[in-house]
Amino acid sequence: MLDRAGVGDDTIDIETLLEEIRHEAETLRQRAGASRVGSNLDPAELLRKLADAGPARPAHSGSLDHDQAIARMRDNADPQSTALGSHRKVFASPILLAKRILRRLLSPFLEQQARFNGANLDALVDLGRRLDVLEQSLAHQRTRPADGPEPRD
Amino acid sequence: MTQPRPVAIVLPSLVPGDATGNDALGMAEVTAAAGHETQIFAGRIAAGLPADPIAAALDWIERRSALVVYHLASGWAAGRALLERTRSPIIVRDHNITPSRFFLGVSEEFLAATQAGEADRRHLAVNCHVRCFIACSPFSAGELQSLGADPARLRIAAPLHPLDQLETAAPDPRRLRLWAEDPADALFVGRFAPNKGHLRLLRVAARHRELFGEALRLRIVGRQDPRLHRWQALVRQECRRLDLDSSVDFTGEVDLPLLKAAYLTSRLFLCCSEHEGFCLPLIEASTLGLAAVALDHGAIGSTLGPGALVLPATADDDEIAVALHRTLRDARLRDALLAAQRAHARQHFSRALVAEEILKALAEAGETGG
Repeated sequence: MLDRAGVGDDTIDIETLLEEIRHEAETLRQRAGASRVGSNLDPAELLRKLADAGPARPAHSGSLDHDQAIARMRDNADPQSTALGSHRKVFASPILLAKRILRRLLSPFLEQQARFNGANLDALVDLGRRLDVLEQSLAHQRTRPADGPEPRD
Repeated sequence: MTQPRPVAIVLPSLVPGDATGNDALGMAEVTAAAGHETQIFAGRIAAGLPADPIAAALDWIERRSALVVYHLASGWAAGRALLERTRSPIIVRDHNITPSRFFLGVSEEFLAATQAGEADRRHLAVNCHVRCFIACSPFSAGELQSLGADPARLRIAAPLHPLDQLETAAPDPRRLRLWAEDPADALFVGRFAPNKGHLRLLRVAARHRELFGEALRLRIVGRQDPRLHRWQALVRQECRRLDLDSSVDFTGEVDLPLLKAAYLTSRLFLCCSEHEGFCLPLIEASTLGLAAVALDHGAIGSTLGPGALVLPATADDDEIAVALHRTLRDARLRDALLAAQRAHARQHFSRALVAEEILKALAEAGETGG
């Protein structure tokens, strides 16, 4: 397929290659149907999306999102706290009994998992705090007057 | 034989790993080796780097009737003041300025900084005390000319960049092993800014999946400035929306060993940037063995050269995805593209050539009056 672009002899006819690429893209797109990816955002759409993307201030690890995520994870950190139930009407009682027995049999492992999850979350919170300090120190350094934004590429 | 005229190299900020700083340091080596007494002056100087504060520049320059090489990389009040007060010949080293329109709605701070940079560039282009402009690319030279700079005073020389440091650096062994197990199809290196085409990279990856049924694994390297947080949030949002979280790796800023590992464990370099004054990562990619697929914006075409796979700026996302797919599948095509990129870089951007251009510019500026 690439022969016409002359790759075989180590020299490339770039114009031919570009033409082949255009043609192949058209053919493949016809086969694949309309794209769901979207195309280049127009400036107004871009500005709207930027506004939706949140405040101009960095959302560091102490942000609401991060705190909420930690709280959700902590709520689910202990596997033993899972409420047991059954959606079956007839066999609900024996199934619940079996689940309770299983949970009791597995309790040493579940406790270990709960301890592991708790330690992981503590480490995550600690990392978040350390990241806050680093980001604040970095922001402070970078906002010094002699170190403004880089306007060149 | 007359003693070469002293040279003062002036720039806003001299910090490690910065393209303007690297160019200034390289230029100082070139002028010193040619016998010019040379001194760098900067507004901000990182510890250990050989420069004096800008406040000391005027006295040093006037005492020696030195040539002033002014690195234009941003709007800078102290630099402007120096250029207004000196009677010595001025040479402007133009590093290009990212157009301010890219920062509209993204960051007030960056918007103001780029507007200040654009204003300085406009004024310098028509400043009759400037003897010579050394643009970093034909694209930058064209922009200066359109701002009113006299074409007879325009020279072009690529930025000096310590490529040898990257070539000889040992890649980070841990990251090299991890990344080698899961190599990236395409790599992009560049700071996280709205002109760098990150949204386009993501769309191309998603289009690639639509056309070829497989996600493109992207590795995106570059500093994420907290002040461009809104932009970064938008990119992350798009990444989630396009369901690319598992195939796109944002590494953030990396040091030299990590950068080397990133290049060595990627198959192609993909550049969808919408504005580049030169684009040094394209040269790094060529040096470390990566063929590039890029869009013809700014200086990208002239940096990669005529034998490289530079798609027209008007190419759509499907065309970029197809170009990537073909290049990834065809080792002979990759080799031929890489050979063309390397030959172009050797022919136009070798340190000796750049040094020669700089010294010619200094000689001409020193001779024409002053």
